[in-house]
Amino acid sequence: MRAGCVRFGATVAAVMTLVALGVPSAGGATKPGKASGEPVTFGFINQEDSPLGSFTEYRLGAEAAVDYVNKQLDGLHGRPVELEQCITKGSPESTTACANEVLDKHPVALIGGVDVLAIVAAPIFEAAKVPILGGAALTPPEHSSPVGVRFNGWSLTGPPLMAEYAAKQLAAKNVVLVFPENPASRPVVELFIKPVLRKAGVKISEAAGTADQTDWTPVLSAAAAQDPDAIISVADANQCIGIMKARQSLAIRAPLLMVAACNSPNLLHDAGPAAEGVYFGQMHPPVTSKSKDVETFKRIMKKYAPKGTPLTEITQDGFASVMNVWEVLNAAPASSLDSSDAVLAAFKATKNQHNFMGHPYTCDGAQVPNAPSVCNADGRMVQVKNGVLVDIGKKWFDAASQLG
Amino acid sequence: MSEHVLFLVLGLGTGAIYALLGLGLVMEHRSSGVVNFAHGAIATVIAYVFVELRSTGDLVLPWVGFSNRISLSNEGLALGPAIAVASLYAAVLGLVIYVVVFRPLRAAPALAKVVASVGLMLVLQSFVVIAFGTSAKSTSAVLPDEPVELFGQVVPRDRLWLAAVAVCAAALLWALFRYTRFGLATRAAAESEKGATLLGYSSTRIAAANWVLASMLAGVAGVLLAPITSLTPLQYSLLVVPALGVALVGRFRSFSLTALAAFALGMAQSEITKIQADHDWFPKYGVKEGLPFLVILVAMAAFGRSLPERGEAADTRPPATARPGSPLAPAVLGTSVALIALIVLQGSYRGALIQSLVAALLCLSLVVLTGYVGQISLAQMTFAGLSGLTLSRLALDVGVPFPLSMLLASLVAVAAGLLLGLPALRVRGVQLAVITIAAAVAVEQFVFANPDLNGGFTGAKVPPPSLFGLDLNIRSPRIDEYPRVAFGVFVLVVLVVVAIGVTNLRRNATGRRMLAVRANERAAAAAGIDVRATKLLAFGLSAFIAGIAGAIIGYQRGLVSAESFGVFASLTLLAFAYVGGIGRVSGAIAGGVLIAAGGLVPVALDRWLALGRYEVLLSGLGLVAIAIAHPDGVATAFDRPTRAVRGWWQRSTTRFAVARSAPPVRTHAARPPLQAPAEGPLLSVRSLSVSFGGINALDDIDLVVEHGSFVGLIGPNGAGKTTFVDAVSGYVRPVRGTIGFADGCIDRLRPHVRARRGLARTFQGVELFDDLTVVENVLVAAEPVRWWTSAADVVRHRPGRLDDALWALDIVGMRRSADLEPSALSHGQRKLVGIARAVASRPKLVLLDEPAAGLDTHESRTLGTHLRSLVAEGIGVLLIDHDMGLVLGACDEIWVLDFGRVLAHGSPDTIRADRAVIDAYLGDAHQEGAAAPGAPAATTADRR
Repeated sequence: MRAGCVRFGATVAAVMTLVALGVPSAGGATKPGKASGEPVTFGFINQEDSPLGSFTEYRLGAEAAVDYVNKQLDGLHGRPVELEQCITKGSPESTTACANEVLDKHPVALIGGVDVLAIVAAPIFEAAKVPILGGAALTPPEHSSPVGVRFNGWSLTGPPLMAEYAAKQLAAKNVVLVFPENPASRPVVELFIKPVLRKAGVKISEAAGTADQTDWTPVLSAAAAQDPDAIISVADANQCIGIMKARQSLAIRAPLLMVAACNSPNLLHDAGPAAEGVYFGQMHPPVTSKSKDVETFKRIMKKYAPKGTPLTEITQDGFASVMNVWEVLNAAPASSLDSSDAVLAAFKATKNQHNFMGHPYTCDGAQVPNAPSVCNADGRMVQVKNGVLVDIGKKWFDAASQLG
Repeated sequence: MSEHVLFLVLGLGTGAIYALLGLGLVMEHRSSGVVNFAHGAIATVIAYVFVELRSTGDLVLPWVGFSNRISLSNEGLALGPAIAVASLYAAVLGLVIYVVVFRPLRAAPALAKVVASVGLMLVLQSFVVIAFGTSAKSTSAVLPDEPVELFGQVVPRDRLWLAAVAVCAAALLWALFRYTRFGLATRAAAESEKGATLLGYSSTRIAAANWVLASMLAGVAGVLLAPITSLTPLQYSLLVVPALGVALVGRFRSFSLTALAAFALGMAQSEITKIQADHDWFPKYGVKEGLPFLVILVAMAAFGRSLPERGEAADTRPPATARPGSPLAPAVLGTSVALIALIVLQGSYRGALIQSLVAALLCLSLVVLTGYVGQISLAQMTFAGLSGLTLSRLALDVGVPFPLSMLLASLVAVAAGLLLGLPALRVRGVQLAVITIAAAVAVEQFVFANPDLNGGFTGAKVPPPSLFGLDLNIRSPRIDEYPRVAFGVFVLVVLVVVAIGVTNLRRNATGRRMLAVRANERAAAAAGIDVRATKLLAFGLSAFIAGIAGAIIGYQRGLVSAESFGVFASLTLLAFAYVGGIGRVSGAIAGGVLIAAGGLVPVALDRWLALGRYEVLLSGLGLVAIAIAHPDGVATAFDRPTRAVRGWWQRSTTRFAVARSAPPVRTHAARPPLQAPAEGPLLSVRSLSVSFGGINALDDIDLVVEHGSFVGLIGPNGAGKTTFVDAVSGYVRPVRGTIGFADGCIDRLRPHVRARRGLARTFQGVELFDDLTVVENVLVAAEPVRWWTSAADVVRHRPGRLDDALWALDIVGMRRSADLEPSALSHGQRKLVGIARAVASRPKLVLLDEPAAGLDTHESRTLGTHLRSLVAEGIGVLLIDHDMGLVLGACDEIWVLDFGRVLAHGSPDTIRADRAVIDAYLGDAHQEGAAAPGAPAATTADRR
């Protein structure tokens, strides 16, 4: 009997520990500081600690910006900004649950984070008519969402920018596209790179790896066999190092262009000499640049973010999303803070609006072909020189307009 | 040409990694019977530890939450010491995993081990995420990596070294297992744990040593791979899939075959990269990942056997199932509670409840397939995904309305289920699980990853359902109405209907047949069950349920995306279903509500306890703990109180058990003979020969059994008696000869068809179906199978042919035990139930293989009386036994076999007096006074 009780107790204990598999975590709310009164509540969904990818630095950037707004900028019309957060775990179930959980808090809008499965949540916010401000829009449904207000292009910036840079600046006539064959990469290649290269009359070849390619040398070897003038890679952050090292070990001389997810300081450090000379297309100027916004960003991150927070482009975008929301809504009538419709209208009315650490944006739905929710897709080209990211063009490139 | 050689050489690197991981999987399986899905995750942990040692000099210990770092150096450890420390780490990790997780599961069902390994995989992945972060890492070269020119092409030198390491590892393991005492002990323990113990080997130590070596091999793979690729928490875990594939080709036994398959796979994938780059016409999607698995799938299916061989070990303890009861009360109660909850809960909690209902539906698909028929499928989410994608196409492109579109889409899942069921006809157990993974990978790559089929970047959209103007959309224009109650009710209704159907299935003949197949395929076939059809039925039905769930997921999200239906989603689904209780409907509900991701209780607990980043770690630990504490699922924890309540209810309402409730039946003594009297031979065997590997087990046997006669078949051990029965009943294929039965030739008929034609048999061992009661064991054989019975069984409870079953139990005097489980019977009683099962179908002839073995003299005498009464009923009997008192006393005629040939044939008195029989078998004990004067001589013509 006693053994039975112990067994039953063990079962209950085990169930208690088991039951949380794959569910989203409530990250809690970021509490207001100097600003006072009833908080303005924004939802915030971000993917972290998932084997599919973790974008913690995006949240840390956003949180630092919220602290900055509340403590140094007196909040929104004097009211504190509150982020109702939910962290997804890289599964459709957790993304759906997070969308529902955030909506339970009746936010006036969602400040978008980075979630590779956000496409699953998009219809939920559309049904609820809650705007999604900033954050990563990776898929066409997100690009065309009627409630989306995207300050930067993400998949509409880096990939077409790399294509245009290869064709025009590097004068490549023969380009090989290297990517893992998965549902995320293939559409990027087809929708956002090939059209730009075709317009420039470039010969296009493909060398695709598997979705979980272990050794990239066969793929890079197949690419090299095409004798390319440039290689454009659309691999995610998890595969960048393998591609860089394979190129190095095969002594391939053709320039390599990669998405900005591959240029975080840690990745470049681990890739070592293999990263030297690699080009990246990205949405923000690198943190080595001297613009006023970048300086503010670095100063505020140092003050409010946890020590050791990496200053990557993802951190920059998290910070910038909050700053852009503050800037527009603080200028709009205070009454608009309690209406999702009014918030959406305020952003839809913007024209050449200042974009923190980014190219100015206009949310008239006509900035990027077939992507009415994307208000700006201009980007910068950077290159690793002597182990440091350098802003090589020092200007904004508009490549997305080539997609029409 | 040289370019193709180059790509083959480049494939060596990947092949080497597959080989190193595959070799470890083989060791783990050979020593402990575990197919370790966490093997890739072990490699990941070791690789991360190694990289951290190299970059920071810190040794990260395998726990989280408090200090877990020891600084061994301020600037990163040198290569040699880092490899040494990582190897030691791997050894200790392997040892701890075996001792803590898999040793306690030694005698557990195979599925419990699978679930524990899934839990372990989650734990290790989560540990890596928490301890090392998720950003990709790498380290400097371990092996010489300068480019080298080969056939005029540049090749990285380290790939060649990597291949050499893998080849050496395979060769060393082969030699270790073939020539050393350790290898001998491992092989002995794999064959028989008891036998190895008797020889003085500790099976625990042997297995532990194997796990240490396997873990170190995984570590070697991780360490050597880290410098040439990106190290991420998931990447190496995914490598377990191809590694399982190559281990499967090696049958989880052969190191050399495993290594060869690994290199072949790596080189094939590399070569396909070249072909794809060169030729536009070559398929882009899925070929590299999917094609090798298709080959594995087809090859394994071709190598398998349709029925297990005699003595082939089955899973000795499949998961427990519930005794069948009426679904009415639980359905009414459960539906009421769920309905109230759907109305009362709001927002995310209502969404979580709907998620629980969908998950329970998915778990039900596994109850049918794995719980009832014992087929392990790791492709359930694949079926769901296929249905979801089809639904999208049907609804948007063809305009098929709901619910027809949902049903048609589920039929596509059924087609996939039947296809996947084909390998299951020849492959069993965890090997089948690996094959289903291979199939899931193939579908994932060919279909789900194909933008032409998956809806591309936009996903495959699914329009909301509506029925006769009733809007069942989950979404509402009002924010406080999401998700809508109407959608929740729709999902609830589907779940209740399916749950009642699955419960009815278990209560009826189809469920009994399924459990019989799960328990013992050979015995099931002997009871007239078409094992293949039963398996395919289960695969089809299970895929249909999963397909319905897949369609509902589409309606729930408004689109179908590939992420929901990957291999690892199927793996965790199996874990949820198993931990809930895979053998019962209540277990599926428990799995959906208590455990499944995004379900009601997990979401609530996460809200209340703020588990945060530790939730997956805790979940994995929970899976492992439940697999160890309750290998049959948490639902079984409620068995005792449920049984107590049910017992009280039965007593207080004078409800009846089967034996008491059955209509009065005539005793066998009063029953007229069942078989019409007939003349001439019933069984006519001519020139029957069977050989195994060149040894003649039966050689040119001629044997005849007349209608309604009682014939004995005797001979020394190894004479070929059981082989004769196996050949006649269709379990072994003769090399020549013909078998006539009841005026027809049955040479080419499968065993269950022979049984249905009236040729029943029993087995030497007691091969009852342990999950069925005594009367259910007999009912299985008594019930005729019609094409429509399975459909009818899903719809309502049908009592079955209880009269016939009770008559058969009466024949052997076991009616009083009708309601008992076989485990409650003595050995002799179990033998009698086996005979009852054989005669329940009222056969023309029953072949009894040593029914008196293990019986005492009294029981044996009683058995003789029972057998005579069978003959009185018109049933012919062919009796094999070593109890000469029984055979010589009861039989009308006796055949004697020796060394596979007929030694003698005649009446008992003749045989008793036959000198050759006495010399070869009987000895002098049976001779005294046996040969009556004037008894005919034995048929010497048949002698050797």
